[in-house]
Amino acid sequence: MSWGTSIARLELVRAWRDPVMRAMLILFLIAAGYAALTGARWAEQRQLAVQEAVAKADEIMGKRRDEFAAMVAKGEKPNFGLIYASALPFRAGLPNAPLAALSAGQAEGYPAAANVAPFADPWAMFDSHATGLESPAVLAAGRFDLAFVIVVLMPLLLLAATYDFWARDVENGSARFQLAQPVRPAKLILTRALVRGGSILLGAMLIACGWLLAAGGQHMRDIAVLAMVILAYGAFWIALAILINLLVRVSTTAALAGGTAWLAIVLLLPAVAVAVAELAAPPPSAMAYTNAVRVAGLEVREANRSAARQAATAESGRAYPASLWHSRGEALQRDARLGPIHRAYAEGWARHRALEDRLRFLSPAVIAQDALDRVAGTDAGRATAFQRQARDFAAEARKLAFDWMDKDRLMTLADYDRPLLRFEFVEPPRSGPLLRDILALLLFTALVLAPAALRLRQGAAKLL
Amino acid sequence: MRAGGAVPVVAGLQWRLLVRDRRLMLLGLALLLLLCTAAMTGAALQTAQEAERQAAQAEEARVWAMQGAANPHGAAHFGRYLFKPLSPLAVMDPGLLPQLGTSLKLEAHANNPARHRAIDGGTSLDRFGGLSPATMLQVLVPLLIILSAFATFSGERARGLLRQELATGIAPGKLMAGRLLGVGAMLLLLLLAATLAGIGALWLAGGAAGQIVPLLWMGLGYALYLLSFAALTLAASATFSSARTSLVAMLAFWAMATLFVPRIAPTFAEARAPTLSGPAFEAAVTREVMEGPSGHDPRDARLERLRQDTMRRYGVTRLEDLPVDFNGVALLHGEALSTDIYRRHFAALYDGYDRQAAIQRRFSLLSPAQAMRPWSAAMAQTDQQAHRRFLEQADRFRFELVQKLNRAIIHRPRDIEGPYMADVAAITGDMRFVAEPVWAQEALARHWADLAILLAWAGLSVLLAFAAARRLGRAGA
Repeated sequence: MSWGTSIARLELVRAWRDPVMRAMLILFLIAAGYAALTGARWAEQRQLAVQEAVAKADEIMGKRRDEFAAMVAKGEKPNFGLIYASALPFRAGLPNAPLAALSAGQAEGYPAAANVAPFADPWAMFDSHATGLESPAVLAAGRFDLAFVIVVLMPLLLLAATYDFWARDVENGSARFQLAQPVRPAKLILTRALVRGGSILLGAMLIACGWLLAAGGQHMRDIAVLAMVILAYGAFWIALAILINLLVRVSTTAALAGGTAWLAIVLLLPAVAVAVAELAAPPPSAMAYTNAVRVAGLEVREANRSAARQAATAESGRAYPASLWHSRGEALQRDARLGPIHRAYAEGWARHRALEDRLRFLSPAVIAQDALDRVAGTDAGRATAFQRQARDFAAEARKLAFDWMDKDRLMTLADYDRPLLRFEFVEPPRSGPLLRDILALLLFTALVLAPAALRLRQGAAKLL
Repeated sequence: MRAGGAVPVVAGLQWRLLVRDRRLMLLGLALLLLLCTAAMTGAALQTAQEAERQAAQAEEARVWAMQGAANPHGAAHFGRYLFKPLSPLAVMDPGLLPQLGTSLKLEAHANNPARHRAIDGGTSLDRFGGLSPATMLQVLVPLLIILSAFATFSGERARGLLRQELATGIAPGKLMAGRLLGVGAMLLLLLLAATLAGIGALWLAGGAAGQIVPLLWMGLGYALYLLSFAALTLAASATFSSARTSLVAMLAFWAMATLFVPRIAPTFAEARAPTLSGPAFEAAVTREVMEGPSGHDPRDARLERLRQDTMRRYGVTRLEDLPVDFNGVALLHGEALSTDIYRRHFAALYDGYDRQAAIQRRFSLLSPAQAMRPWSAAMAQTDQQAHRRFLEQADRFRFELVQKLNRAIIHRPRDIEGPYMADVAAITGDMRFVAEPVWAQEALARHWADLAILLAWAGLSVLLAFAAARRLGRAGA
């Protein structure tokens, strides 16, 4: 048996016999199971809420159809709300991604549905879905999902397993004996760290993926990406434990160093990054935006006041009344006037998000969170892609209504019996950002391993 | 040495040890600096935000007046906006503010939730949250206490010093009292500095002198909370023979108490006492509006009844003969009904949040942070209760505004042809919304249980520390 195999076997036995390790792994198993359960429940409720919001359009159309049919049966002419395409209600909804149970991510910070109407402002269609009624305390604490377990708890598990794997031996003197064996110090220390940390990491990865599969995540390609993210993130923490063990000779100091590093990477650095983003590229003022939109809307209304009054009593001589032709023109004017205000506000937010996206590279914890959100489909990119697609859908709905108006085409019973327009969400590409996240995690690992390698090159004497 | 005078001596010794530990002093000073910086920058930001809010609210009033002659019901749909004022004490503890909306649209037929939350529109980075003075006091200062005190007894035992100390004849309880006083004095100094920073930030943020009282109550809560950590750390140090074990035990407790329980408790509470989602809430309200509170009183039937009642009251048989505008009467009654329905549903929703808060409070058996957080946020007026109060005040204002416009429609001049247009700004000119803050007494009355829990934690922790000291005495003997 080679030295490498002997070291690996010995380390595996030591790790297995450590009761703290077993206890930590069991705690992780329970925490991950509970997180997968709450994540699955959250994802199910969210999907239901979106379905409920989208089904509203069908419900309205169903009621109108019954009314339409009843009036026709009585020989009456259906009234204007039932026959004009301009009154058509549409809904757009953002469906869950296959692994939504993994992370709530930013899903609760963005609207997941839109009320689309042909004449309505396409930027205001998210308003009634912008704020859910989730418990603010839950939002403040953050969801206890698998992403939390992986980003926050898994590093603690890895640090608990490896924080003094070498420092303790230096402290009790057995390191001197180990270095006296005919094996290169680098091979000895790296093999021990990889076996001890790697076995825990592998276990954690299998537990997380296993629970997610049990919670209904059936998309194997996404599960494989999740496994890669977990391994890349875990590798960083094992590398950090190696570096700490090479620099510190006392077990307690190693624990303090590991704890401080965890605190800095998981709590402090992200908090500082948030503060920097708030100061360097603050989000645009919602109050100023609200007032600006209202003023511009009033100005358009004022400019059209007398025309609207005339249109209310005028005859159009066509299938659609003059008031609707006027509303159509006013809607176009309003959109032209409000468009720049909406776009400026959206660009302000985009700048803020772009800076936050760059600042995520300050901390491996944020990178891992970002990658997990993307795997779960609860990232900001997917939410903003939904908004863009919903606006495109609104443009389609408007085009349909305008075409029918131009052709003097009124709604018929047959129109109620077929879906006129349906919103289908197209998944935006995410392999690029995910690859960047995984590469960034590996780069962090390499950056931490570089000083460790230098330390190992200084010879065995420096390791005692 | 007289036994009675031993406690101050031990306390002085502990104080000197803490002061002379350069790493700890550096950490403590860095934390204090960070805390003061967070409070002061928070105050500066809040001052700017409040100035912007006031300007935006004035602009909103101008926009409302800009409508000129408008149909009162159209104006009620155009609505008004209220921008929520910030509590000056939010500089110390923003509480739930990032999760609560900042602007509220007041309009006819709908009691809207507040929109534009700070958590909206963010990225994965925002999931980690910011660093407020309250977060530092709740999460980082306990860690500093653990790092300062975990080796107090166990370290001395390892070096053989503890045996020498006990050999002088000092009672272990007095040794513990002295150590506790030493660590407590350091804590008191830190809290004093934090309170002074809080008063400075309050002054910068335009807070009134009266708000110092809740700040002091908040400080009392933190004193008890931090005392619990100090006493527990000393108890662990006296119980475990190695400093390593006491450190690991206390770090595990810290992680559980400040990070995991506060995360698990709300999720657990939400699962045990679920509240309606946004679409489900809206659907329930709409159903009741359409079918009546009994579920068997459709809107058309209600309208017909109102029509008949109104004509009977005025002694006419045709709507055209009414001396008032029936549309206004229908709007007035409809608004009263929908407002009542909304208020009942919102009250049920808020009660659901309260039930969740009560479940979360039970987790304070595991972590004092579960009592500390609501106590601190309540004193800072940044909790759900303060928000609820604002929303309820705003809804009363909304209702009065809409009904005033509806009354204008009822009593509109009858000789005007075409749609009724009126100067809505003049009609509602005497209406001004002023948010009344939650008084400290009200918050105290609601949250006394949290303070009692903190007191119990502190008391039990101190008792545990003295019990551990007694065992220390037996072991020394």
